[in-house]
Amino acid sequence: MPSSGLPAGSDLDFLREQLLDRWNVRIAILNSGNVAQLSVQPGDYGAALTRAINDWTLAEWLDAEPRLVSAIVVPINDADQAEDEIRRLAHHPRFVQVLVTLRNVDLLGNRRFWRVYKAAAEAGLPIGVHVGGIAGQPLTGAGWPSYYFEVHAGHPQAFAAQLSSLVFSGVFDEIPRLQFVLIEGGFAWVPSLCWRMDRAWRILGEEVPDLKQEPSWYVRHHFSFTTQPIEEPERPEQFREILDALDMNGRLLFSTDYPHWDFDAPDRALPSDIASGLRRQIMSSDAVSLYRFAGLDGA
Amino acid sequence: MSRPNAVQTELELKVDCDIHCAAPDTAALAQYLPRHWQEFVGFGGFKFREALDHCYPPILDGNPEETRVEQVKQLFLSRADVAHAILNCYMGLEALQNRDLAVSLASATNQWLADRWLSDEAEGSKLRASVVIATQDPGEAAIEIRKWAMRKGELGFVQVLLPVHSEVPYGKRQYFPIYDAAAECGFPIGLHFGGLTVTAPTSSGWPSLYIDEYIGMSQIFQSQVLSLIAEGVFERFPDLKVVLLESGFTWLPALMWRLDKEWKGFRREVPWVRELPSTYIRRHFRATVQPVDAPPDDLAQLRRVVDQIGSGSLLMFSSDYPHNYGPDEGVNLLLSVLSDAQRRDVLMNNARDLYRL
Repeated sequence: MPSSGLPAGSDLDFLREQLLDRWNVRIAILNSGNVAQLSVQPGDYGAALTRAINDWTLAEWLDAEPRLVSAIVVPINDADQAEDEIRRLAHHPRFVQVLVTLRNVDLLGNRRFWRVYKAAAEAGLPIGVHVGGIAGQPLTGAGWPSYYFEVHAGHPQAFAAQLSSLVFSGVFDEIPRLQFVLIEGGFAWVPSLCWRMDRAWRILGEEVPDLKQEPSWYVRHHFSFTTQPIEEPERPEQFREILDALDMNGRLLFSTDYPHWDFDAPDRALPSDIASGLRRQIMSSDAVSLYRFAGLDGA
Repeated sequence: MSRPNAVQTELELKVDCDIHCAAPDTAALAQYLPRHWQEFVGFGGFKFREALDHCYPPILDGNPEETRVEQVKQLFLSRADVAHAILNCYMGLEALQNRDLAVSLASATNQWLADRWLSDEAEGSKLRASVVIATQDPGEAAIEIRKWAMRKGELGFVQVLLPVHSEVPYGKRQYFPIYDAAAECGFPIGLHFGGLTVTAPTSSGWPSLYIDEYIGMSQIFQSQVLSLIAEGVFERFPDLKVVLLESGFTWLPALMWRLDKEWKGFRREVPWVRELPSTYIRRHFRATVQPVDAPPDDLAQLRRVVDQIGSGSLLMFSSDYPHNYGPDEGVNLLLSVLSDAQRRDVLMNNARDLYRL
């Protein structure tokens, strides 16, 4: 906790000291994780809140610290206002993605969100999907769980539902430049989901006749995954097996989840035996190319 | 596949852990219902069976003729390589808000299964079946389980069937009477693909497409595995086993790794979860092999998944007869990457031991 007595993640000086300076972080992307819960607030109030969050982020964080960039928080369920907010801020080089929450009242493949995605893709901004959100329905497909353990360990199932919804909706054929970043959900679950999607498509594909590619193709070309909480298989060599099965070179993005309790330290997150080229990709170059950081200070 | 399949199937005995009959229509069940519900069916025009017809798209439904008892015996059970088959009759009773009706229909279905399918004649002696229960009323379900367990030797009920999609996760204490009865009777809980509930199958609502719902069912299986472990079901019922039916299984390694990692951070919240979640999974869960979610052209991936699961006792053969997945070589591919010992375990031994056949 900062010595100022402020809550974790609310003191810029402390963030500089504890994260940016300490670990030599050149660029850090701010995702207003907790505040993003407000993006499901309906109506004008929700839109006003998200505008206020974005303006506050720009004034208090981005203008004060050149190593920080941020996501634009949008009221995703009000597509008109979400689109407006993206267009209002998209010209600003320090806003680098659009943030929506993992749990939502509708699956993200729903066509009513496509105009939001179009606005983001036109501005060259990926859509970041971050853990959290208020959906108004049970937190798992099996109903409400009892424990935070289940909530936290259950994020991959919620991400899988969103990924499948997006792939089969056909949105990537409609908006070929659209990119998604799945944040804080892990990635070891992705290969078996791809295998299942491809197999299901071979037998049920007539339900989605317009889909131009095999489902896993869209995953490899339109999704990236952040690393925290890093996968820890039983045997060290199985980490390489995950990467091999994933077959998505260039789409793993390092993340710390600062300032949360399950923070991954930059020097210890990845297995020590990972090849140096791959390590450099995950730690920086993949994010530089996805977010086009090259023109920014610090890149 | 270079294996001489015809010879192979003749020689290799197997237990098929997941075959299906068409759900009985209301008229077939009427004779087994209490008088009150017979009248209700009569004057209300209640047609429960028809609602189920919307569960599967026609291309997956198989030929209805192949699900009648004579055909199943002739086409399937007469095969020399089938030692036993476990019949799972999906009724969709969880959709009913009238719990007394659901309880009566479960009971009638079991009596119908006993009379029509399990009577010991011809190939019928190879059949075993799951007890159908109404999860709305776990107390009555426990009575139903014990009732059929008493006639286990004579009829061949071996398991309790639950649809995986529930409104309330299966780890919760309200279901404990079911597990108490199942463990006492030596019945595993069979969690099967599907379930008709008012709650959405994802945490972000209802998918528009069947293909999404189909794919998403494996996430519901994962939520149930997590719930059963987190709530301490296996500490309370150390002999209880759970069989994942038509679940897919290649997601198991990633789930085990994730749960083990999370448990290290969260065990203070759930101190009754005394062991690594993967330990509970390997000790208490079994998964049937159909369908095999793996790349058809990269056997190395499938072999790795089997190694990562790390227990030859976890997988059990199933065909999902008569559901038609088209030209799908998945199970044969799986069998081809197993060692001879693993192959015998998956085809026969694991199920024989679990169901005490």
